[in-house]
Amino acid sequence: MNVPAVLFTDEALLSDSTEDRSIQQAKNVATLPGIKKGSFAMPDMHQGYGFPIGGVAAFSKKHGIITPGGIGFDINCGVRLMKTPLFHDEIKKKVKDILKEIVRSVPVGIGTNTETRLDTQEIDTVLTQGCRFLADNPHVFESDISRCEENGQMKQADASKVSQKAKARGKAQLGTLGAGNHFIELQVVDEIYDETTAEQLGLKQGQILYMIHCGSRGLGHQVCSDYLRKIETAYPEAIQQLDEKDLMYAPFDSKTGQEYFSAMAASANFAWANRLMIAKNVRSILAQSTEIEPSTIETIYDVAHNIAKLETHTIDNAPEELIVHRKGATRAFPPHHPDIPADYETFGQPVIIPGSMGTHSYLLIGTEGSMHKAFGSAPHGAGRKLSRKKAMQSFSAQSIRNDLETLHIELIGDSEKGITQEAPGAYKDIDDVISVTKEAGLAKPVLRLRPIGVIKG
Amino acid sequence: MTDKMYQFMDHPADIKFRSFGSNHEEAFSNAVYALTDIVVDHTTLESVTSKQVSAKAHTYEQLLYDFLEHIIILIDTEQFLVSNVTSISISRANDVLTLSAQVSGDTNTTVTDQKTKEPHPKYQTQGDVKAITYHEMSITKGEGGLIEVEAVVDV
Repeated sequence: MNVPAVLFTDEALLSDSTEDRSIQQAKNVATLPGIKKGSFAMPDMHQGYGFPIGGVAAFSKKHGIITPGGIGFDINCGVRLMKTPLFHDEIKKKVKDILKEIVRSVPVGIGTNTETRLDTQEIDTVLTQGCRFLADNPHVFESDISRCEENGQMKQADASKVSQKAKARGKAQLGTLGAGNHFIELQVVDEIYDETTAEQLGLKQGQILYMIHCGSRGLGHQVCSDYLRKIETAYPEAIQQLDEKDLMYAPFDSKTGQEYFSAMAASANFAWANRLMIAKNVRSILAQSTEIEPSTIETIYDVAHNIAKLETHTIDNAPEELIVHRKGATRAFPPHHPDIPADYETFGQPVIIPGSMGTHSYLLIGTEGSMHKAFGSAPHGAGRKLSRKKAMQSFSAQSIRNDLETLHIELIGDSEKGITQEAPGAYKDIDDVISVTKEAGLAKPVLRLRPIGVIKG
Repeated sequence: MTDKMYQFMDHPADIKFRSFGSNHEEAFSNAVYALTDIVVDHTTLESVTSKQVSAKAHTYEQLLYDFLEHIIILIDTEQFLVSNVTSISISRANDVLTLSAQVSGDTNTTVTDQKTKEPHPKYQTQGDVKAITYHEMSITKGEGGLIEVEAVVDV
């Protein structure tokens, strides 16, 4: 049965969307079997593979489907936000040195982690346990795990459903950043909108935070490729009916569907362990260079933005378990939801929305309204509006470096092409995305962050 | 050495390339150069070691996907970057296409800068490839008989 395509947008953002196929993709998703309520597109929507990026769709567990197009190659690409007890003045002069130290311990680009090469047993443990794999590390604390979506461990994970090829790609990549739009940012709390929630989170104006954006690296990418091939072999007739092959799907309640879901969950666990390992390494460096206790650096939250989750939502006034796909979209659960950390119960799940390089990022919280409007979902970032090729033609790495210098933002990123492709001008206006998010009731802004140092992947 | 015939096209989020050749072998080789060029300037690569790559599929699209996936896996698992496709053959028997290729290149090892004594990768990389996709993939015979390959790489 078809449902409506629902776009959360305004005039300026909508005009960007008419330049690519994202609206048609939202309409195509609306025709998939077992879809409930609507095919939703977040304010940062842009063209993806099958699904628009910024797409949210939920399907019946029994009669619906699971589709890699609604999850993406970078399974559990997401964001972890950490707070420190430091304030801007205390580290202003040390930012460049701190960034250089971080780059020494966190491989970027195609670099691998030669210090943490996982053996066969270890990689299976990471795939099964996610963040819990690092629980015994002296610089990892319980709140790093509890303040993470799914506590950093999807229980549906099955390491045996992840191919040897995928494991071979991932074994030397734990604790690495990757490239593209991945980054580590040192940030300062720039403006507070919700004083009460900021206080409950222990956050003040001028406080130093850091943010990590990356995913499941080559392991997740390979899992997606592997299952695209399996789904194509198992359900070729379904593909004939689709506008785009990338929307291929398997019934959720099928052998292929279940194997993909459990391999996806395992990849998601790898990504959560990856972000935690990077966060821990940055914690150690910050603590050492500023002579503070590592335990004073705490996790605020970690969210996935490319994932499918089993969640209970209200359909026709009754609770129903659905397989919710968020492709370039973030979960945004309200206060008192059973799936959020106990210490956040009264105010809701933190929603982390990074801007593009050199621009603001935002911390918001989930609302009851979002549960009814879009299965408790919010945008994941600014969304591209210029292609990488156009960005390289329109911007120069030197001018971007100059702009960042004017804003007193240190940048570490050796690739000229990488920098121009990630030019702020290639992305939609994050402030506009947040404004629409707030007006639509998808999430409530708590504060705004300003970058002071960026390591580009 | 084959002329490296490929170009990059516009794509909203990732990277799309078009490669050419007088036959499928040449067009597929140039697809490898296009893919490599996303990661590193291939003209800076030395040919130090050789590797054998093979693929099997029912269609040329699946064959290309498999072949390029192997190249991506070499980058991820061995930091191996292809400077040259030294030999390549594609044959068909019944319903199956088989590709066999020899590729030469170098490993992006960590080296120490003579002056600063700082470790750094041997080659300056400029991006990463996550996966080859089927999105907008086409393999056609154009005017003048050239084989044209188009594909999108998720970066």
